[in-house]
Amino acid sequence: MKNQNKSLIPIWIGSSILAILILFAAFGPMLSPFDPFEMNMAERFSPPGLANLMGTDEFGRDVFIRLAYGARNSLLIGFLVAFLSSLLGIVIGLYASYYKFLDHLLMRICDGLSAIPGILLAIALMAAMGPSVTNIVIALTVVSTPNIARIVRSGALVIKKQPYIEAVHTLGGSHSRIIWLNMSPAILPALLVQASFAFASAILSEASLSFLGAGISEPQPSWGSILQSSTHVIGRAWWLALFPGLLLVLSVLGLNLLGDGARDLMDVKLPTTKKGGR
Amino acid sequence: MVKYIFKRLGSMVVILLIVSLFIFSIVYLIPGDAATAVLGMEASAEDIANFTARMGLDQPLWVQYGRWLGGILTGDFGDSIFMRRPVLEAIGEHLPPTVSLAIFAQLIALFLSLPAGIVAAYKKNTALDKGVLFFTLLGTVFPSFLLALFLMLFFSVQLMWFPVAGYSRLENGLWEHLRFLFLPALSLGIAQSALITRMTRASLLEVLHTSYIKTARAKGLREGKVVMKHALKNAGLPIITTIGQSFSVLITGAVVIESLFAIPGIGRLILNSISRRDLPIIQGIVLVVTVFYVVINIIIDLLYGAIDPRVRLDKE
Repeated sequence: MKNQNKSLIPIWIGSSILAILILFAAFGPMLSPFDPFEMNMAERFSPPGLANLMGTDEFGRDVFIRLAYGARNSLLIGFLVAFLSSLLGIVIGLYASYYKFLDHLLMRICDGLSAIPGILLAIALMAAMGPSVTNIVIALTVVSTPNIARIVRSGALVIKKQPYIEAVHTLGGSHSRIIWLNMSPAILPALLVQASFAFASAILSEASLSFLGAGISEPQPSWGSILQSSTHVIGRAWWLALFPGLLLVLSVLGLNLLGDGARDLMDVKLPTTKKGGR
Repeated sequence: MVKYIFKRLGSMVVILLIVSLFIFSIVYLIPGDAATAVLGMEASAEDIANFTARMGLDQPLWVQYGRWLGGILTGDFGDSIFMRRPVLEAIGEHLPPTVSLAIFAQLIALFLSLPAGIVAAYKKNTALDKGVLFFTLLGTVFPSFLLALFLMLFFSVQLMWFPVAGYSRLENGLWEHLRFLFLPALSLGIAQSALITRMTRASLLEVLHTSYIKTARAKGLREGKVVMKHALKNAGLPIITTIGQSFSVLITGAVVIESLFAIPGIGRLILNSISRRDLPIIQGIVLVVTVFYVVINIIIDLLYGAIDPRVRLDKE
Protein backbone atom coordinates (compact mmCIF):
# COMPACT_ATOMS: atom_id res chain seq x y z
CA MET A 1 0.00 0.00 0.00
CA LYS A 2 2.62 2.48 1.02
CA ASN A 3 4.43 4.35 -1.69
CA GLN A 4 2.06 2.87 -4.23
CA ASN A 5 1.09 6.23 -5.70
CA LYS A 6 4.57 7.60 -5.50
CA SER A 7 6.19 4.83 -7.48
CA LEU A 8 3.69 5.19 -10.32
CA ILE A 9 4.85 8.71 -11.19
CA PRO A 10 7.94 7.72 -13.21
CA ILE A 11 5.87 5.22 -15.15
CA TRP A 12 3.26 7.84 -15.98
CA ILE A 13 5.85 10.37 -17.09
CA GLY A 14 7.80 7.75 -19.01
CA SER A 15 4.81 6.34 -20.85
CA SER A 16 3.44 9.81 -21.63
CA ILE A 17 6.75 10.77 -23.21
CA LEU A 18 6.76 7.54 -25.17
CA ALA A 19 3.14 8.04 -26.27
CA ILE A 20 3.93 11.55 -27.52
CA LEU A 21 6.89 10.22 -29.49
CA ILE A 22 4.83 7.45 -31.02
CA LEU A 23 2.11 9.96 -32.00
CA PHE A 24 4.79 12.23 -33.46
CA ALA A 25 6.22 9.36 -35.49
CA ALA A 26 2.81 8.12 -36.62
CA PHE A 27 1.03 11.38 -37.44
CA GLY A 28 3.83 13.96 -37.70
CA PRO A 29 4.40 13.30 -41.40
CA MET A 30 0.67 13.84 -42.10
CA LEU A 31 0.61 17.21 -40.36
CA SER A 32 3.27 18.65 -42.58
CA PRO A 33 2.73 19.71 -46.19
CA PHE A 34 6.41 19.11 -46.95
CA ASP A 35 8.23 16.15 -48.44
CA PRO A 36 11.18 14.83 -46.40
CA PHE A 37 13.38 14.51 -49.49
CA GLU A 38 12.38 17.58 -51.46
CA MET A 39 15.23 20.07 -51.66
CA ASN A 40 14.61 23.78 -51.94
CA MET A 41 17.85 25.67 -52.20
CA ALA A 42 16.13 29.06 -51.93
CA GLU A 43 14.98 28.15 -48.42
CA ARG A 44 18.29 26.86 -47.01
CA PHE A 45 18.74 27.34 -43.28
CA SER A 46 15.45 29.12 -42.64
CA PRO A 47 15.01 29.48 -38.90
CA PRO A 48 11.92 27.97 -37.24
CA GLY A 49 8.81 29.90 -38.16
CA LEU A 50 5.24 29.52 -39.30
CA ALA A 51 6.15 27.92 -42.62
CA ASN A 52 8.79 25.54 -41.32
CA LEU A 53 7.98 24.75 -37.72
CA MET A 54 11.49 23.59 -36.91
CA GLY A 55 13.36 25.37 -39.68
CA THR A 56 15.11 23.92 -42.71
CA ASP A 57 18.45 22.20 -43.25
CA GLU A 58 21.36 22.79 -45.62
CA PHE A 59 19.30 21.60 -48.60
CA GLY A 60 16.22 23.59 -47.64
CA ARG A 61 14.39 20.44 -46.50
CA ASP A 62 11.81 20.80 -43.73
CA VAL A 63 13.34 19.67 -40.42
CA PHE A 64 10.02 18.86 -38.73
CA ILE A 65 9.04 16.20 -41.22
CA ARG A 66 12.55 14.78 -41.37
CA LEU A 67 12.54 14.46 -37.60
CA ALA A 68 9.15 12.74 -37.73
CA TYR A 69 10.45 10.21 -40.24
CA GLY A 70 13.61 9.93 -38.14
CA ALA A 71 11.40 9.12 -35.15
CA ARG A 72 9.90 6.24 -37.13
CA ASN A 73 13.39 4.86 -37.77
CA SER A 74 14.51 5.38 -34.18
CA LEU A 75 11.44 3.79 -32.62
CA LEU A 76 11.37 0.93 -35.12
CA ILE A 77 15.04 0.11 -34.63
CA GLY A 78 14.81 0.52 -30.86
CA PHE A 79 11.76 -1.71 -30.62
CA LEU A 80 13.13 -4.42 -32.89
CA VAL A 81 16.46 -4.50 -31.06
CA ALA A 82 14.72 -4.69 -27.67
CA PHE A 83 12.36 -7.41 -28.91
CA LEU A 84 14.96 -9.54 -30.68
CA SER A 85 17.58 -9.30 -27.97
CA SER A 86 14.95 -10.16 -25.33
CA LEU A 87 13.94 -13.19 -27.37
CA LEU A 88 17.53 -14.35 -27.84
CA GLY A 89 18.42 -13.37 -24.29
CA ILE A 90 15.64 -15.40 -22.71
CA VAL A 91 16.48 -18.49 -24.77
CA ILE A 92 20.22 -18.25 -24.04
CA GLY A 93 19.73 -17.28 -20.40
CA LEU A 94 17.16 -19.99 -19.59
CA TYR A 95 19.06 -22.81 -21.26
CA ALA A 96 22.33 -21.66 -19.73
CA SER A 97 20.77 -21.67 -16.28
CA TYR A 98 19.23 -25.11 -16.81
CA TYR A 99 22.04 -27.12 -18.39
CA LYS A 100 25.46 -26.93 -16.80
CA PHE A 101 27.38 -27.78 -19.98
CA LEU A 102 25.58 -25.08 -21.97
CA ASP A 103 26.16 -22.60 -19.18
CA HIS A 104 29.92 -22.52 -19.60
CA LEU A 105 29.81 -22.35 -23.36
CA LEU A 106 27.06 -19.72 -23.68
CA MET A 107 28.26 -17.51 -20.87
CA ARG A 108 31.84 -17.45 -22.13
CA ILE A 109 30.53 -16.38 -25.53
CA CYS A 110 28.52 -13.62 -23.84
CA ASP A 111 31.57 -12.59 -21.81
CA GLY A 112 33.60 -12.34 -24.98
CA LEU A 113 30.96 -10.33 -26.81
CA SER A 114 30.36 -7.91 -23.98
CA ALA A 115 34.09 -7.38 -23.47
CA ILE A 116 34.09 -5.49 -26.78
CA PRO A 117 32.87 -1.91 -26.25
CA GLY A 118 29.40 -1.82 -27.79
CA ILE A 119 29.75 0.99 -30.27
CA LEU A 120 33.05 -0.41 -31.58
CA LEU A 121 31.46 -3.81 -32.12
CA ALA A 122 28.52 -2.17 -33.87
CA ILE A 123 30.84 -0.08 -36.04
CA ALA A 124 32.87 -3.15 -37.02
CA LEU A 125 29.72 -5.11 -37.89
CA MET A 126 28.29 -2.20 -39.86
CA ALA A 127 31.55 -1.72 -41.76
CA ALA A 128 31.49 -5.36 -42.81
CA MET A 129 27.77 -5.71 -43.56
CA GLY A 130 27.20 -2.29 -45.12
CA PRO A 131 24.69 0.38 -44.09
CA SER A 132 21.00 -0.52 -43.92
CA VAL A 133 18.26 -0.50 -41.30
CA THR A 134 18.25 -4.31 -41.15
CA ASN A 135 21.99 -4.38 -40.53
CA ILE A 136 21.71 -1.75 -37.78
CA VAL A 137 19.11 -3.93 -36.07
CA ILE A 138 21.35 -7.00 -36.42
CA ALA A 139 24.46 -5.19 -35.15
CA LEU A 140 22.72 -3.63 -32.14
CA THR A 141 20.97 -6.89 -31.27
CA VAL A 142 24.36 -8.61 -31.17
CA VAL A 143 25.57 -5.83 -28.86
CA SER A 144 22.67 -5.94 -26.41
CA THR A 145 21.86 -9.66 -26.23
CA PRO A 146 24.73 -10.77 -23.91
CA ASN A 147 23.67 -8.39 -21.17
CA ILE A 148 20.04 -9.55 -21.28
CA ALA A 149 21.08 -13.20 -21.42
CA ARG A 150 23.22 -12.72 -18.33
CA ILE A 151 20.37 -11.10 -16.39
CA VAL A 152 17.90 -13.81 -17.41
CA ARG A 153 20.41 -16.48 -16.43
CA SER A 154 21.11 -15.12 -12.96
CA GLY A 155 17.39 -14.66 -12.31
CA ALA A 156 16.64 -18.16 -13.61
CA LEU A 157 19.32 -19.72 -11.39
CA VAL A 158 17.37 -18.51 -8.36
CA ILE A 159 14.01 -19.63 -9.78
CA LYS A 160 15.39 -23.06 -10.63
CA LYS A 161 15.97 -23.75 -6.92
CA GLN A 162 12.39 -22.90 -5.92
CA PRO A 163 10.28 -25.73 -4.52
CA TYR A 164 7.63 -25.45 -7.23
CA ILE A 165 10.17 -26.22 -9.92
CA GLU A 166 11.28 -29.25 -7.98
CA ALA A 167 7.63 -30.26 -7.65
CA VAL A 168 7.06 -30.15 -11.41
CA HIS A 169 10.23 -32.14 -11.79
CA THR A 170 9.00 -34.82 -9.39
CA LEU A 171 5.65 -34.94 -11.15
CA GLY A 172 7.51 -35.88 -14.28
CA GLY A 173 7.40 -32.57 -16.17
CA SER A 174 9.78 -32.55 -19.11
CA HIS A 175 12.78 -30.23 -19.23
CA SER A 176 11.31 -28.00 -21.90
CA ARG A 177 8.02 -27.84 -19.98
CA ILE A 178 9.86 -26.67 -16.90
CA ILE A 179 11.95 -24.17 -18.84
CA TRP A 180 9.15 -22.63 -20.88
CA LEU A 181 6.00 -23.09 -18.83
CA ASN A 182 7.33 -22.81 -15.30
CA MET A 183 10.52 -20.81 -15.36
CA SER A 184 10.02 -18.29 -18.17
CA PRO A 185 6.97 -16.51 -16.65
CA ALA A 186 8.89 -15.82 -13.47
CA ILE A 187 11.67 -14.15 -15.40
CA LEU A 188 9.36 -11.89 -17.46
CA PRO A 189 9.30 -8.85 -15.10
CA ALA A 190 13.09 -8.62 -15.04
CA LEU A 191 13.16 -9.16 -18.79
CA LEU A 192 10.65 -6.38 -19.45
CA VAL A 193 12.63 -3.93 -17.33
CA GLN A 194 15.82 -4.83 -19.13
CA ALA A 195 14.10 -4.62 -22.52
CA SER A 196 13.11 -1.01 -21.88
CA PHE A 197 16.74 -0.15 -21.12
CA ALA A 198 17.83 -2.01 -24.26
CA PHE A 199 15.22 -0.01 -26.22
CA ALA A 200 16.71 3.26 -24.93
CA SER A 201 20.29 2.29 -25.57
CA ALA A 202 19.46 1.06 -29.08
CA ILE A 203 17.93 4.44 -29.92
CA LEU A 204 21.05 6.11 -28.57
CA SER A 205 23.37 3.76 -30.45
CA GLU A 206 21.50 4.22 -33.71
CA ALA A 207 21.80 7.98 -33.31
CA SER A 208 25.53 7.64 -32.54
CA LEU A 209 26.09 5.36 -35.53
CA SER A 210 24.19 7.66 -37.87
CA PHE A 211 26.01 10.65 -36.37
CA LEU A 212 29.27 8.91 -37.27
CA GLY A 213 28.02 8.06 -40.74
CA ALA A 214 27.94 4.35 -40.03
CA GLY A 215 24.19 4.02 -39.58
CA ILE A 216 21.29 5.32 -41.61
CA SER A 217 22.78 7.21 -44.51
CA GLU A 218 21.59 10.35 -46.26
CA PRO A 219 19.14 11.16 -47.71
CA GLN A 220 17.23 8.83 -45.35
CA PRO A 221 16.31 10.89 -42.29
CA SER A 222 17.74 10.01 -38.87
CA TRP A 223 18.14 12.07 -35.71
CA GLY A 224 21.82 11.18 -35.64
CA SER A 225 22.55 12.33 -39.17
CA ILE A 226 20.60 15.57 -38.69
CA LEU A 227 22.74 16.22 -35.59
CA GLN A 228 25.79 15.47 -37.70
CA SER A 229 24.73 18.01 -40.34
CA SER A 230 24.35 20.63 -37.61
CA THR A 231 28.01 20.38 -36.66
CA HIS A 232 29.12 22.00 -39.91
CA VAL A 233 26.95 25.06 -39.37
CA ILE A 234 26.92 25.14 -35.61
CA GLY A 235 26.95 28.94 -35.27
CA ARG A 236 24.32 29.48 -37.93
CA ALA A 237 21.61 26.90 -37.45
CA TRP A 238 21.03 26.07 -33.82
CA TRP A 239 17.70 24.40 -34.58
CA LEU A 240 19.49 21.61 -36.42
CA ALA A 241 21.13 20.64 -33.13
CA LEU A 242 18.40 21.53 -30.64
CA PHE A 243 15.35 19.64 -31.96
CA PRO A 244 16.89 16.27 -32.78
CA GLY A 245 18.90 16.51 -29.55
CA LEU A 246 15.76 17.19 -27.56
CA LEU A 247 13.93 14.26 -29.16
CA LEU A 248 16.85 11.95 -28.45
CA VAL A 249 17.10 12.98 -24.81
CA LEU A 250 13.32 12.77 -24.34
CA SER A 251 13.06 9.28 -25.75
CA VAL A 252 15.97 7.97 -23.69
CA LEU A 253 14.61 9.69 -20.59
CA GLY A 254 11.12 8.31 -21.18
CA LEU A 255 12.30 4.74 -21.58
CA ASN A 256 14.64 4.96 -18.61
CA LEU A 257 11.85 6.30 -16.40
CA LEU A 258 9.59 3.52 -17.62
CA GLY A 259 12.24 0.91 -16.85
CA ASP A 260 13.14 2.36 -13.44
CA GLY A 261 9.47 2.74 -12.52
CA ALA A 262 8.58 -0.77 -13.62
CA ARG A 263 11.52 -2.17 -11.67
CA ASP A 264 10.42 -0.45 -8.47
CA LEU A 265 6.78 -1.35 -9.03
CA MET A 266 7.38 -5.03 -9.71
CA ASP A 267 10.15 -5.14 -7.13
CA VAL A 268 12.56 -6.68 -9.59
CA LYS A 269 15.99 -7.19 -8.14
CA LEU A 270 18.35 -6.90 -11.03
CA PRO A 271 21.68 -8.46 -10.31
CA THR A 272 24.45 -5.95 -10.79
CA THR A 273 25.59 -6.67 -14.30
CA LYS A 274 29.21 -7.41 -14.61
CA LYS A 275 30.58 -6.53 -17.96
CA GLY A 276 33.37 -8.57 -19.49
CA GLY A 277 36.91 -8.82 -18.31
CA ARG A 278 36.27 -10.97 -15.32
CA MET B 1 46.23 -15.61 -3.65
CA VAL B 2 48.42 -17.30 -6.27
CA LYS B 3 45.55 -19.60 -7.12
CA TYR B 4 43.27 -16.58 -7.44
CA ILE B 5 45.68 -14.80 -9.76
CA PHE B 6 46.01 -17.82 -12.03
CA LYS B 7 42.27 -18.32 -12.13
CA ARG B 8 41.72 -14.70 -13.11
CA LEU B 9 44.45 -14.73 -15.73
CA GLY B 10 43.08 -17.98 -17.12
CA SER B 11 39.63 -16.50 -17.55
CA MET B 12 41.19 -13.45 -19.18
CA VAL B 13 42.92 -15.64 -21.78
CA VAL B 14 39.66 -17.47 -22.52
CA ILE B 15 37.77 -14.21 -22.95
CA LEU B 16 40.44 -12.74 -25.20
CA LEU B 17 40.46 -15.89 -27.34
CA ILE B 18 36.70 -15.64 -27.78
CA VAL B 19 37.02 -11.94 -28.56
CA SER B 20 39.67 -12.70 -31.16
CA LEU B 21 37.38 -15.29 -32.77
CA PHE B 22 34.60 -12.74 -33.05
CA ILE B 23 36.84 -10.05 -34.44
CA PHE B 24 38.40 -12.48 -36.88
CA SER B 25 35.05 -13.67 -38.20
CA ILE B 26 33.82 -10.14 -38.92
CA VAL B 27 35.48 -10.36 -42.34
CA TYR B 28 33.08 -13.15 -43.29
CA LEU B 29 30.08 -10.92 -42.75
CA ILE B 30 30.97 -8.99 -45.88
CA PRO B 31 28.22 -9.91 -48.32
CA GLY B 32 29.52 -11.69 -51.40
CA ASP B 33 33.19 -11.86 -52.20
CA ALA B 34 35.34 -9.99 -49.67
CA ALA B 35 37.97 -9.09 -52.27
CA THR B 36 35.45 -7.50 -54.63
CA ALA B 37 33.76 -5.70 -51.76
CA VAL B 38 37.02 -4.17 -50.63
CA LEU B 39 38.67 -3.48 -53.97
CA GLY B 40 35.54 -2.38 -55.81
CA MET B 41 33.81 -3.67 -58.92
CA GLU B 42 36.46 -2.29 -61.27
CA ALA B 43 39.24 -4.39 -59.75
CA SER B 44 40.97 -6.62 -62.28
CA ALA B 45 40.96 -10.39 -61.87
CA GLU B 46 44.67 -10.22 -61.13
CA ASP B 47 44.20 -7.71 -58.31
CA ILE B 48 41.50 -9.86 -56.80
CA ALA B 49 43.68 -12.97 -57.01
CA ASN B 50 46.56 -11.07 -55.40
CA PHE B 51 44.35 -9.74 -52.66
CA THR B 52 42.84 -13.14 -51.97
CA ALA B 53 46.28 -14.70 -51.71
CA ARG B 54 47.68 -11.86 -49.60
CA MET B 55 44.80 -12.05 -47.13
CA GLY B 56 44.97 -15.84 -47.23
CA LEU B 57 41.31 -16.00 -48.19
CA ASP B 58 41.93 -19.12 -50.27
CA GLN B 59 42.98 -21.15 -47.21
CA PRO B 60 40.68 -23.20 -44.95
CA LEU B 61 39.07 -21.17 -42.18
CA TRP B 62 41.00 -22.60 -39.25
CA VAL B 63 44.30 -22.06 -41.07
CA GLN B 64 43.30 -18.45 -41.67
CA TYR B 65 42.40 -17.96 -38.04
CA GLY B 66 45.62 -19.61 -36.84
CA ARG B 67 47.68 -17.42 -39.13
CA TRP B 68 45.83 -14.29 -38.12
CA LEU B 69 46.11 -15.04 -34.40
CA GLY B 70 49.78 -15.98 -34.79
CA GLY B 71 50.37 -12.64 -36.47
CA ILE B 72 48.54 -10.74 -33.71
CA LEU B 73 50.54 -12.48 -30.99
CA THR B 74 53.80 -11.50 -32.67
CA GLY B 75 52.63 -7.92 -33.13
CA ASP B 76 51.71 -8.25 -36.80
CA PHE B 77 48.16 -6.99 -37.25
CA GLY B 78 48.41 -7.08 -41.03
CA ASP B 79 48.39 -4.13 -43.39
CA SER B 80 45.79 -1.48 -43.92
CA ILE B 81 44.14 -2.07 -47.28
CA PHE B 82 43.72 1.62 -48.03
CA MET B 83 46.87 3.13 -46.51
CA ARG B 84 49.12 0.24 -47.46
CA ARG B 85 51.00 0.31 -44.18
CA PRO B 86 51.05 -1.84 -41.03
CA VAL B 87 47.88 -1.58 -38.98
CA LEU B 88 49.72 -1.35 -35.69
CA GLU B 89 51.77 1.60 -36.96
CA ALA B 90 48.63 3.50 -37.96
CA ILE B 91 46.98 2.75 -34.63
CA GLY B 92 50.08 3.78 -32.71
CA GLU B 93 50.10 7.08 -34.51
CA HIS B 94 46.48 7.82 -33.58
CA LEU B 95 46.71 6.58 -30.03
CA PRO B 96 48.16 9.61 -28.15
CA PRO B 97 45.22 12.02 -28.66
CA THR B 98 42.72 9.36 -27.56
CA VAL B 99 44.76 8.42 -24.49
CA SER B 100 45.13 12.10 -23.56
CA LEU B 101 41.42 12.66 -24.01
CA ALA B 102 40.50 9.58 -21.97
CA ILE B 103 42.79 10.47 -19.07
CA PHE B 104 41.66 14.10 -19.03
CA ALA B 105 37.99 13.05 -19.15
CA GLN B 106 38.49 10.50 -16.39
CA LEU B 107 40.12 13.12 -14.15
CA ILE B 108 37.24 15.53 -14.75
CA ALA B 109 34.78 12.73 -14.02
CA LEU B 110 36.46 11.90 -10.71
CA PHE B 111 36.71 15.55 -9.78
CA LEU B 112 32.96 15.94 -10.32
CA SER B 113 31.63 12.63 -9.11
CA LEU B 114 33.49 11.81 -5.91
CA PRO B 115 32.52 14.99 -4.02
CA ALA B 116 28.99 14.84 -5.46
CA GLY B 117 28.53 11.20 -4.50
CA ILE B 118 29.92 11.70 -1.00
CA VAL B 119 27.75 14.74 -0.33
CA ALA B 120 24.65 13.03 -1.72
CA ALA B 121 25.18 9.98 0.48
CA TYR B 122 25.94 12.02 3.56
CA LYS B 123 22.96 14.33 3.07
CA LYS B 124 20.65 11.52 2.03
CA ASN B 125 17.06 12.50 1.16
CA THR B 126 17.73 16.22 1.37
CA ALA B 127 17.27 18.65 -1.50
CA LEU B 128 21.00 18.45 -2.13
CA ASP B 129 20.81 14.69 -2.56
CA LYS B 130 17.83 14.97 -4.88
CA GLY B 131 19.66 17.61 -6.90
CA VAL B 132 22.68 15.39 -7.33
CA LEU B 133 20.49 12.45 -8.34
CA PHE B 134 18.68 14.63 -10.85
CA PHE B 135 21.99 15.60 -12.44
CA THR B 136 23.10 12.00 -12.65
CA LEU B 137 19.83 11.21 -14.42
CA LEU B 138 20.57 14.02 -16.88
CA GLY B 139 24.07 12.64 -17.30
CA THR B 140 22.64 9.22 -18.13
CA VAL B 141 20.11 10.37 -20.69
CA PHE B 142 22.31 13.01 -22.34
CA PRO B 143 24.64 11.24 -24.74
CA SER B 144 28.10 12.78 -24.51
CA PHE B 145 28.14 13.90 -28.14
CA LEU B 146 24.94 15.86 -27.65
CA LEU B 147 26.34 17.48 -24.54
CA ALA B 148 29.49 18.27 -26.51
CA LEU B 149 27.45 19.85 -29.26
CA PHE B 150 25.66 22.14 -26.80
CA LEU B 151 28.85 22.99 -24.91
CA MET B 152 30.50 23.77 -28.22
CA LEU B 153 27.59 25.98 -29.24
CA PHE B 154 27.76 27.90 -25.98
CA PHE B 155 31.45 28.11 -25.03
CA SER B 156 33.12 28.10 -28.45
CA VAL B 157 30.62 29.74 -30.75
CA GLN B 158 28.84 32.20 -28.44
CA LEU B 159 31.48 33.02 -25.83
CA MET B 160 34.51 32.07 -27.96
CA TRP B 161 36.41 30.86 -24.90
CA PHE B 162 37.62 27.70 -26.54
CA PRO B 163 38.57 26.68 -30.06
CA VAL B 164 35.57 25.20 -31.90
CA ALA B 165 37.47 22.11 -32.96
CA GLY B 166 40.94 20.84 -33.62
CA TYR B 167 43.83 19.43 -31.72
CA SER B 168 47.23 20.58 -30.56
CA ARG B 169 49.91 18.00 -29.86
CA LEU B 170 51.35 17.74 -26.39
CA GLU B 171 54.76 18.57 -27.85
CA ASN B 172 53.45 22.04 -28.74
CA GLY B 173 52.82 22.90 -25.13
CA LEU B 174 50.63 21.54 -22.37
CA TRP B 175 48.41 24.60 -22.13
CA GLU B 176 47.39 24.57 -25.80
CA HIS B 177 46.97 20.80 -25.61
CA LEU B 178 44.56 21.08 -22.71
CA ARG B 179 42.74 24.06 -24.18
CA PHE B 180 41.80 22.07 -27.26
CA LEU B 181 40.92 19.00 -25.24
CA PHE B 182 38.94 20.75 -22.51
CA LEU B 183 35.44 20.77 -24.05
CA PRO B 184 35.63 17.22 -25.43
CA ALA B 185 37.00 15.98 -22.12
CA LEU B 186 34.37 17.87 -20.15
CA SER B 187 31.49 16.38 -22.14
CA LEU B 188 32.94 12.89 -21.79
CA GLY B 189 33.71 13.48 -18.13
CA ILE B 190 30.18 14.59 -17.29
CA ALA B 191 28.66 11.52 -18.96
CA GLN B 192 31.18 9.36 -17.13
CA SER B 193 30.62 11.05 -13.78
CA ALA B 194 26.92 10.16 -13.71
CA LEU B 195 27.76 6.49 -13.28
CA ILE B 196 30.51 7.02 -10.74
CA THR B 197 28.42 9.45 -8.67
CA ARG B 198 25.61 6.92 -8.39
CA MET B 199 28.01 4.18 -7.39
CA THR B 200 29.83 6.37 -4.86
CA ARG B 201 26.53 7.36 -3.28
CA ALA B 202 25.19 3.81 -3.19
CA SER B 203 28.28 2.15 -1.77
CA LEU B 204 28.87 4.91 0.78
CA LEU B 205 25.25 4.62 1.94
CA GLU B 206 25.72 0.92 2.52
CA VAL B 207 28.74 1.56 4.71
CA LEU B 208 27.43 4.60 6.59
CA HIS B 209 25.05 2.69 8.85
CA THR B 210 27.38 -0.14 9.74
CA SER B 211 28.37 -0.54 13.36
CA TYR B 212 32.03 0.35 12.93
CA ILE B 213 30.97 3.78 11.70
CA LYS B 214 28.84 4.10 14.83
CA THR B 215 31.93 3.13 16.82
CA ALA B 216 34.03 5.73 15.07
CA ARG B 217 31.43 8.36 15.88
CA ALA B 218 31.04 7.13 19.45
CA LYS B 219 34.71 7.50 20.12
CA GLY B 220 34.34 11.14 19.17
CA LEU B 221 35.97 11.34 15.76
CA ARG B 222 35.16 14.37 13.71
CA GLU B 223 32.50 13.76 11.05
CA GLY B 224 34.90 14.61 8.25
CA LYS B 225 37.29 11.95 9.40
CA VAL B 226 34.53 9.37 9.86
CA VAL B 227 33.26 9.85 6.31
CA MET B 228 36.48 10.47 4.44
CA LYS B 229 38.68 7.98 6.20
CA HIS B 230 36.59 5.22 7.69
CA ALA B 231 33.61 5.07 5.37
CA LEU B 232 35.18 5.98 2.05
CA LYS B 233 37.99 3.49 2.44
CA ASN B 234 35.56 0.62 2.64
CA ALA B 235 33.20 2.02 0.05
CA GLY B 236 36.12 2.54 -2.31
CA LEU B 237 36.35 -0.90 -3.87
CA PRO B 238 33.03 -0.94 -5.74
CA ILE B 239 33.75 2.60 -6.84
CA ILE B 240 37.06 1.56 -8.37
CA THR B 241 35.35 -1.36 -10.10
CA THR B 242 32.78 1.00 -11.60
CA ILE B 243 35.55 3.23 -12.88
CA GLY B 244 37.16 0.25 -14.60
CA GLN B 245 33.93 -0.97 -16.11
CA SER B 246 32.86 2.45 -17.30
CA PHE B 247 36.05 2.61 -19.35
CA SER B 248 33.95 1.09 -22.10
CA VAL B 249 31.54 4.04 -21.88
CA LEU B 250 34.51 6.37 -22.04
CA ILE B 251 35.92 4.79 -25.19
CA THR B 252 32.51 4.70 -26.82
CA GLY B 253 32.07 8.39 -26.12
CA ALA B 254 35.59 9.20 -27.26
CA VAL B 255 35.02 7.66 -30.69
CA VAL B 256 32.04 9.93 -31.31
CA ILE B 257 33.46 13.00 -29.61
CA GLU B 258 36.68 12.83 -31.62
CA SER B 259 34.78 13.05 -34.87
CA LEU B 260 32.85 16.05 -33.57
CA PHE B 261 35.95 17.97 -32.44
CA ALA B 262 38.17 16.83 -35.32
CA ILE B 263 40.66 15.20 -32.97
CA PRO B 264 42.99 12.89 -34.91
CA GLY B 265 42.64 9.92 -32.58
CA ILE B 266 41.50 6.32 -32.75
CA GLY B 267 37.89 7.36 -33.28
CA ARG B 268 38.86 9.38 -36.32
CA LEU B 269 40.89 6.49 -37.70
CA ILE B 270 38.06 3.99 -37.32
CA LEU B 271 35.60 6.40 -38.93
CA ASN B 272 37.78 7.00 -41.94
CA SER B 273 38.16 3.26 -42.22
CA ILE B 274 34.41 2.61 -42.32
CA SER B 275 33.87 4.42 -45.59
CA ARG B 276 37.01 2.80 -47.02
CA ARG B 277 35.88 -0.62 -45.73
CA ASP B 278 39.41 -0.98 -44.37
CA LEU B 279 38.62 -3.97 -42.18
CA PRO B 280 42.16 -4.79 -40.96
CA ILE B 281 42.31 -1.34 -39.34
CA ILE B 282 38.85 -1.70 -37.80
CA GLN B 283 39.65 -5.18 -36.50
CA GLY B 284 42.96 -3.94 -35.13
CA ILE B 285 41.38 -1.04 -33.26
CA VAL B 286 38.57 -3.14 -31.82
CA LEU B 287 41.10 -5.73 -30.68
CA VAL B 288 43.53 -3.23 -29.14
CA VAL B 289 40.80 -1.36 -27.28
CA THR B 290 39.17 -4.57 -26.04
CA VAL B 291 42.48 -6.01 -24.82
CA PHE B 292 43.17 -2.75 -23.03
CA TYR B 293 39.72 -2.79 -21.44
CA VAL B 294 39.94 -6.43 -20.36
CA VAL B 295 43.44 -5.96 -18.93
CA ILE B 296 42.39 -2.88 -16.94
CA ASN B 297 39.52 -4.80 -15.42
CA ILE B 298 41.67 -7.81 -14.60
CA ILE B 299 44.17 -5.55 -12.84
CA ILE B 300 41.34 -4.00 -10.84
CA ASP B 301 39.99 -7.47 -10.04
CA LEU B 302 43.41 -8.62 -8.84
CA LEU B 303 43.86 -5.48 -6.72
CA TYR B 304 40.41 -6.06 -5.32
CA GLY B 305 41.39 -9.61 -4.41
CA ALA B 306 44.65 -8.44 -2.87
CA ILE B 307 42.97 -5.78 -0.72
CA ASP B 308 39.85 -7.70 0.27
CA PRO B 309 40.39 -11.38 1.15
CA ARG B 310 36.64 -12.04 0.99
CA VAL B 311 36.72 -11.58 -2.78
CA ARG B 312 39.38 -14.17 -3.52
CA LEU B 313 38.17 -16.71 -0.96
CA ASP B 314 34.54 -16.42 -2.00
CA LYS B 315 35.03 -17.75 -5.49
CA GLU B 316 37.18 -20.75 -4.65
